[in-house]
Amino acid sequence: MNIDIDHLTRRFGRTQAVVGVDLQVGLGVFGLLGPNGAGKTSLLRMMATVLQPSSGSLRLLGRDPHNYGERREIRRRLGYLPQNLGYYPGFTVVEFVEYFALLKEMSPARIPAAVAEAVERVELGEKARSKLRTLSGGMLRRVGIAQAIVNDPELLLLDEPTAGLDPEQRVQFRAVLRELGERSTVVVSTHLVEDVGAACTEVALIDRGNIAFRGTPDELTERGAGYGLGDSPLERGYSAVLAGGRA
Amino acid sequence: MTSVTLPLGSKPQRIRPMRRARLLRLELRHSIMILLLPLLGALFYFDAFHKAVGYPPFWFVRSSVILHELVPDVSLFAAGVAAWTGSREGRRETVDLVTMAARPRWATALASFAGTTIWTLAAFLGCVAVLYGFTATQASWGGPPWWPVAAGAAVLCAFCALGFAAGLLLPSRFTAPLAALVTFLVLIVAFRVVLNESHPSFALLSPMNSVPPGDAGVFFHYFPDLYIVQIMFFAGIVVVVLGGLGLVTASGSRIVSRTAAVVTALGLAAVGTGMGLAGTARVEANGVVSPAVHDAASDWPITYTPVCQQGAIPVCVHPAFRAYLPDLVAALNPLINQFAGLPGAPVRVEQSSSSTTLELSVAVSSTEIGTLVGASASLTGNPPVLRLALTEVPSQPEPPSSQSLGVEQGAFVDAFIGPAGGTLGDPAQAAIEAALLHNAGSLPSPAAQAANRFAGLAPSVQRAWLATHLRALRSGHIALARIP
Repeated sequence: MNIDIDHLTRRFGRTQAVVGVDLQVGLGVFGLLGPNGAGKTSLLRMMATVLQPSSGSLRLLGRDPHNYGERREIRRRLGYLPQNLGYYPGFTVVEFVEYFALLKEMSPARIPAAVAEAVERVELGEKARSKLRTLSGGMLRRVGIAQAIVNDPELLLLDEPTAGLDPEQRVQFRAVLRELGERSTVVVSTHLVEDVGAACTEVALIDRGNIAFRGTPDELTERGAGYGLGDSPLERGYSAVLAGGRA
Repeated sequence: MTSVTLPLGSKPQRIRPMRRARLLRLELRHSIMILLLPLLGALFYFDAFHKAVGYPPFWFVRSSVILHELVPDVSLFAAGVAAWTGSREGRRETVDLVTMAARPRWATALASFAGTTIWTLAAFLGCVAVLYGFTATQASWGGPPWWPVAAGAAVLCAFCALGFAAGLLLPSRFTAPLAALVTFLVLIVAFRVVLNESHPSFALLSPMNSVPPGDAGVFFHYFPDLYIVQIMFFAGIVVVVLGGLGLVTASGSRIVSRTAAVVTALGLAAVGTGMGLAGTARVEANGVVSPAVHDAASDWPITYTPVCQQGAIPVCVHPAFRAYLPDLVAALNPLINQFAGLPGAPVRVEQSSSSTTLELSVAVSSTEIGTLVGASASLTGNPPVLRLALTEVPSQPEPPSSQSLGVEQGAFVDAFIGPAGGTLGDPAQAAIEAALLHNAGSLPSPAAQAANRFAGLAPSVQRAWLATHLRALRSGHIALARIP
């Protein structure tokens, strides 16, 4: 398993963001669904080794992130797109991606080709030399995805990756996700159920810090049979699980 | 699902110099310091350079503006820009991305710091190059002093480090202006006011408190002691701050923590040593001496062959003052013609050093070169030689002012007719001097009347009277009434 989580908890003062989560994830695209404030981002940040768990154990890519040396190894193989992508307005697209490639300790010889490939993959080749301050929100999101995938990560963590993308870009991006999922573990945190339905092989629904559902998108759809809230079958499944959990 | 098989315990990749160079290149390309270079250039031109060209073309005198003007000017911007750069991750919300990268955050921070510091030093050295290049076209003696440049660079690195640390630890858009303000307060208030009054020795650590004597590098070697102490102190601050950042950002790495701890300890040792050495410093005629780092070889005067103009009494000056010689001879010639051949008259007029020993607190509070230059003359040796310290070092290509030449004429007469080397305490001596210098108006009435009487005599009569009465006049045995 590339992600092996055992009873993971994270508290912020009195608030429990993540409550005893158990999760094992292997290759493929894994969707993390849930309403706002459910704990998706906290869970993802712990997987990204940015946030320390309050308790429980976490192993990523067969390594223990508590150990500094192993954590560094994990980070070399990790790609992460935060929910709020910060960026340096004066950098060009290529420079920004190159900067994070260098921070990921990629081999300098590999970097130019890897940066070019990542930028092309998110369809920003024509804007490669543009300063980030001149790009639209959707383009910036794609720059964020490019920096996340530049090191060809074995574990890719994406927090709301399709936010700000137009429908065409979203479709293209789902294709990229499916392709990445063939050889690595991709975790996509989102509240857009159509992304999950189109790209994910497996999905977990988080509510109030707990995993309320885990299965395939088809299984989630089945949960919604006969439930009226939602425009699509998957949305009805999503709503049914949440309603069932809260009841 | 299947999991990816990865080799466990594989050794971390070595951080290659190539990677560091690329990261540094990115930081250099995007340093905000680049935008400020024109402003720094203008500030240098109108402040430090403008002041320097008003000084005589002596290397140490001109180089004084490096620490007094240029470094404080650049420090304010350097600290502000470094704080802005240090706060970048916090302001731009990239902390998560930088934190989750494999490269230790300390190393990433050092690259950002280096980007700002390199531009700061480049701006500083560019200004120094302009200053020294201009001085080289005018100076006729010695060469550019590098100790002030090294000390200035250390000071700038220290303020860059402090600003950067402030930005990294307290990321906000207000950190940069606050860092610049604090730098100003440290340089102007803390060093020059607070420390200067309570601990003048420690105030010497301020780059703005190292005034070189006017004759440094001309008659004697300038002591690098104070510069060494300042470099030690400020380099120590840089090391402490950067080591401290390593401790803060180690995030569980024992190697980083230990390295940062060792670096911090070394920095603290350097800071402590610098302060200790400053505490033992004392001001001497030729500069500030710190016994532990003082090189006795620099106590020896600089050997030189004086440049002389022959006449009734030859006048010789240091070759650095070559341009001053014709005006000096022209000013002294009326007196030389009057005194030549008289009993006890000097066989030669020779320029001497004008530096004087100051109290530590006075030296610290003095920032103007002119305040350290005195005017004096003495008649010594057998046959007697009149040693004359010039009141004002010449500011080429402008000729020396008539006022300064008048002071030198006065010093010449003082030394010749005053009691054993100079101070006129006797009314008759004052009257004769006033008569010879044509300024009787400054004397009280009886002495002024005597001076006017003597001034009204023909030069040959004056000379004849001096030949007869000079010995009695010098020993103070001539009454005003006996002056013809």
